Amino acid sequence: MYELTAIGSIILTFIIAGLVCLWLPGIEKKVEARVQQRIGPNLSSPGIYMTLKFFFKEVLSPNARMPRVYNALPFVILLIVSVILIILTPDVAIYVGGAATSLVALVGLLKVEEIVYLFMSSFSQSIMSKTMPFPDQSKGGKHLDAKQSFIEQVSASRSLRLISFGSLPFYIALFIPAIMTGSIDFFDITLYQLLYGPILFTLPGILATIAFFVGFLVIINENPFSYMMGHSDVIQGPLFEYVAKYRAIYTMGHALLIFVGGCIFSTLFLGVAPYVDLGMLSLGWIGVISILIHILVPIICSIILAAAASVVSAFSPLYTNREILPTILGTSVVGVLALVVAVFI
Amino acid sequence: MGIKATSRKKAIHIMLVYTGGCNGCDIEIVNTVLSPKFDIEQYNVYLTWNPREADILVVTGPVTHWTKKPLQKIYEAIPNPKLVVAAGACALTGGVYKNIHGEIPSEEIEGPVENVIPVDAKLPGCAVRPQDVIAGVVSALPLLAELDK
Amino acid sequence: MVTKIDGATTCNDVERQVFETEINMGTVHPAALEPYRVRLFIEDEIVKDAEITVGLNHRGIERIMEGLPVEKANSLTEKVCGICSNGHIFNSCRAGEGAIGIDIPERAVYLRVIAEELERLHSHMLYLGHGSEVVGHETLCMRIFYIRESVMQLLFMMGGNRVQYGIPILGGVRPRADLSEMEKQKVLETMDYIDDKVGVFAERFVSDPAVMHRITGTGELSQKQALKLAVTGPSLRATGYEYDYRTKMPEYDSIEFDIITQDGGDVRANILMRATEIFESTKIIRQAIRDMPEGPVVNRDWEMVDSPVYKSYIEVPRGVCYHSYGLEDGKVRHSVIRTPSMSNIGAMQESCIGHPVQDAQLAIVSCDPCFTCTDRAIQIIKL
Repeated sequence: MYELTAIGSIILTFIIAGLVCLWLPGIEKKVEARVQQRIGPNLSSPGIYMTLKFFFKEVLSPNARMPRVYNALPFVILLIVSVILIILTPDVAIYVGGAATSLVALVGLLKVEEIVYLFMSSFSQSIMSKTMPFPDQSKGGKHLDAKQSFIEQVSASRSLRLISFGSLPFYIALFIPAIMTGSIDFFDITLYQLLYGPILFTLPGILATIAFFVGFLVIINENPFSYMMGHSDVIQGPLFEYVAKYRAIYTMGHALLIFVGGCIFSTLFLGVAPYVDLGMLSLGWIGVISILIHILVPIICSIILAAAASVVSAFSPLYTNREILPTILGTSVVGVLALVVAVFI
Repeated sequence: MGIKATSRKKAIHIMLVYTGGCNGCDIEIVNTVLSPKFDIEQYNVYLTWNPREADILVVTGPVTHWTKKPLQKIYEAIPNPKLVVAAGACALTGGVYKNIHGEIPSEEIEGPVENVIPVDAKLPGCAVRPQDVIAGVVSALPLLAELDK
Repeated sequence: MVTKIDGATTCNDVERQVFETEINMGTVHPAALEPYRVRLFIEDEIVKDAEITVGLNHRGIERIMEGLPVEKANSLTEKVCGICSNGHIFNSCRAGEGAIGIDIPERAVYLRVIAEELERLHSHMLYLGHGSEVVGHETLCMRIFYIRESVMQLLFMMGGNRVQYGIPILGGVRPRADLSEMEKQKVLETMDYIDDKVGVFAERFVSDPAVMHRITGTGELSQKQALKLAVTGPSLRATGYEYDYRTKMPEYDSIEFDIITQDGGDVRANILMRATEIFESTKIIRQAIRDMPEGPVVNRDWEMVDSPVYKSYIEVPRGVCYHSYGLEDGKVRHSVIRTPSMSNIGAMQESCIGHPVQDAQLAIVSCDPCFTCTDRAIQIIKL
């Protein structure tokens, strides 16, 4: 019986997450447009209708090395993000437990999600650079023996850079709750905050939030750190050749990733896991309030995260290596400072 | 109206391909997207540079000899359903470049766009005004919703 | 024979090295808009050498112009470029007037200056917008496009069209482009608006640390190199060399203005130089409106004569533009146009060397490329 309730709860969580996450791109676009003093698109357009539209388009085979693997990668992203959402729920901690529901699993899954972009950009071979028909009459000028390559190769090397050091502040920030609670298990972290109050309202919590936010911008490839798909040179980089429903899957995975980011934050720093606990209904109105808190707090967190990300992206230029390195270094120092404070508190 | 037609009308990606000509139409179209005064995004129309994402291909300029093949390639890369909007006098007729000295056509111009790829909507003007661009793209939307491929 | 001139690297020096990877962008690319191809030879994302290939845009306007009456040919030169269209028709009118020997009414001269400076305003604002777009800062781009719209309205008011306004004609300006008292007032009000808004924009731009860090030191071009590559216009002035062809044009004799220069020759210098030139242009327009005498705007009293090749140079927003006409029986027998972007291609290739790919695009854009102007006297080879 308990298992059935748990499975029902997880399915309900997924339905709510699916309903909410597709509004987040719309919120992002709208906030950005209001910053730029214009009206901007409908809230439903960039998320819901764009995804639907891509589902109804004709599927062409992509110009990519290993087209099937290339087309499977958006599903991988969607799968990874869904698994992250599942391991955040407390019931899974009871049944599975161990390393699977700890920060280690979260870090591993997010790293895999980042590496998927490397695969994407090395497979993609768009027509916008090398295969574009061009007379090349003046090729006699310089470097006849140079080997032409696709512009996606540039974004592949950039994605390597982001994997190696880009998301460092995010992972540092993740371990501050672990140090403060003395456990890497999500269940213990939420329990600690239930007893002693949210970590967000402590000094290391505030410092960690800064590092978390900057690192999360790198993870979702938002504007200041989106040079992997910056449109001034590599146009869309890894996502270039996705057609129709594969692009729709990617849009969904990306939107769910922003939502899951809000969920991670609310779990680790507020102690509210994203979970509709149907078993709580037996407790009467207290149970209903608890369920509502567990639904609303992650949603509000993800909306604030999306809005803040779009404000930052509207007010910043695209960073190149010269700017990304100091920014990451600075925020990592903030994260390390939070670590030190958390150890000595 | 079904969910298919609604979703197609509520999120439109346009791609701009510039095939010669004088730059004027081109800048006016970019102006339509980037200037907050016109702001084409309020009609849920987004500018993209990726043919795989696009629904509407906006072509400006008479198609010069060397831009013919790239234009065809990009047209083929767009998944169905797709529309082509030819913007500006050059894209519609070849403009001043096509018809030199009466009836002798210029050899360097392959245009108008109709000769290269099928055109669904035409925006006249030299150069097209931003208001015309918005009106033309929005008037092509019912066509896009009806296409069922 | 490769010679080294005072430490400046020549193209031949670079040619000897072998580069393994080549990235090419174009012919359709968001940072370029126009059909041209950039070939970047890179080593781990650092550009070691660059080559810009133009010629896809060739329409053969000079060939079309041959055999046409001068008036028709003049209106064709306007179609050379959609950004500096007035510069081309202005210069071809000057060439035609010089060849035939037409006197221009004084009011028409002032109106031409006003149109040319309005065009410089909108071209420089387009440059600032395009630069911000390539830097990746869409908000700044939208702000400057909003200000630019007021200039477009003025041009629409004068010429009746937003892009190709066709204000100068042979012997003066089109009577439609004459400014009434009310319209003069409107121009003056808009100049105040632009001074105000562009000032705010420039302060906002300069005080943004991320943007400034991105553009400082990017795409550097030394003065020596710029002179060697025969760079003209704002790109040359941004390297600190004081040269503005407006000082030699008789149209600007009675008008006081400063030649703006910046040191460094990087993207920052280029952008700040053009932003400062906007204020100079508004100053010129104010003076022209103040000094403009009453009278006719066009001189129709002239006879067509045959003439040998007559050359005319003016300063258009991107540098020095050259037109020449040879006339016979009232028809154009010879016509050559050389646009400033032609001589700036060298600067574009040189300035992107040594930077990451993203900054290379920025360095190319910072020289204000206009390849639609440039593609003309290049041979087309059919395969």
